[in-house]
Amino acid sequence: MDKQKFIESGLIEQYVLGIVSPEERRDIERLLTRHPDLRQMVEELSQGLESYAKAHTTLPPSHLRQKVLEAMKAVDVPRSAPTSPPPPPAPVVQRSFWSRWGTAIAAVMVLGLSMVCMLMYSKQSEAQQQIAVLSSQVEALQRDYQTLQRVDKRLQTQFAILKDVSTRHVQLQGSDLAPSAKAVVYWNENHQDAYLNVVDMPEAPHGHQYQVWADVNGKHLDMGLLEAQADPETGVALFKLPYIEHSRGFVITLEKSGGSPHPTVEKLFVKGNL
Amino acid sequence: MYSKNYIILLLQRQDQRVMQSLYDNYAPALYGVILRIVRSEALAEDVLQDTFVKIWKYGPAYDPSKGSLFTWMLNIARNTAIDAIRSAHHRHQHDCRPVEQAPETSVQPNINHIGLDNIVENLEDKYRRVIDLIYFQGYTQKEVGEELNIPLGTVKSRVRIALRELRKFFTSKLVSLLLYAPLLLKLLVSLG
Repeated sequence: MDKQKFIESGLIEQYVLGIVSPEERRDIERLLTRHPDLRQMVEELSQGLESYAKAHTTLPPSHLRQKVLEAMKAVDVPRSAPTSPPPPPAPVVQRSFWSRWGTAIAAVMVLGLSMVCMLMYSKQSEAQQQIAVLSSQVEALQRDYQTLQRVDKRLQTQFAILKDVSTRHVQLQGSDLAPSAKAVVYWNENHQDAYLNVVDMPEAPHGHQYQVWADVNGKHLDMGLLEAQADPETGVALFKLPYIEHSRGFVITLEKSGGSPHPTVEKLFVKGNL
Repeated sequence: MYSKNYIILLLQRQDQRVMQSLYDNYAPALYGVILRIVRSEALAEDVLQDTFVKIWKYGPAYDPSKGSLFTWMLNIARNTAIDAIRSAHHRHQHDCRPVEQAPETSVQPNINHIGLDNIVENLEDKYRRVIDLIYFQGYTQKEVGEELNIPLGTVKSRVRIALRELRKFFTSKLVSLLLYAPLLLKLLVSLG
């Protein structure tokens, strides 16, 4: 149907009043979807008609209200499932002081507590690191102390031998190879102890070592090799020597590294007799 | 106090919280129309109750795209009122149309008693009769012609003019509202 003809036909008013046939209704509604201005016209006509109906407004007797509401409630509403009440319109909801400020306060408290926790955690790990450092220091000190105890014991022993009146001091004099070389052997028969004090000896050439010998009835018995240092822990140059009975004298020769079964007489550096 | 859309939503879900709002908002307008149709306060009370029961029962079936909530409820009220008159007359072995027997003048005192808005007064009587018969009493245009003894063409043209007059009145109300809007705004601003 043509739009202008439709407007002039009065069908639109009949449509608003609800007095059109189902066919006419279908045609009109199809037309309305295509023409927003017609839809607007229908809207305004309906509003006018509604205003007319509302103009007849009459207050019903007040006792009727309760009666009608009870009759409505008595209607058995068939429900397949309990319908949940729809959410009330959001803007109408007035939030209370506590719901508004409580959230903020709670948030601040959570933030504060988590900061305290983090602070305590970092403090704790710091303390753990300090404990680790201190305990390693304590361990080092314990090791040092034990070393010192050992050293002290050795020095006490050596000192005891040295000051013992029964200890004999055997001077070893340098040979032609090293006239200025000098060493002392401390010999104690009572305690069967022997020490060597290298006072002055030329440094052993590379691949060579000094070896100490005891003279027992004209035979030279091995008393051990001289290491670079007598005692690495104390740094004191007293070498412990094995006590060999019936020793008459002592010689030190230069031998190849690792020592020799017999002394190389040509390389005799110092010599002394009891 | 719920918004119109929220009232519709609650009605469609048959949520009992909306019952009072529904009654308070629409009962006076519906009662006025019902009274206009049945012309008996005792019968109008029963019809109003039946109307609200039906509104409640059929609430989930209401489709806003098909028309306004008020028009939908008005149709229920109208049909209920017409049915009530018919069954009352059946009981009295009378014809099914009470208004046909009742002289037209008997309507007027009722209207005055109700106290109508000037929207009705502004509408000429010949148009008002046509609209009342169709809109409130469910007559067809042909039946109106027979009732008022006028040709069908005249009925159709009166329907057209009547609705356009009502529309004019409605839009003029809107225009005056728009004219007053700046003044109201100014007032609100000065109050704020």
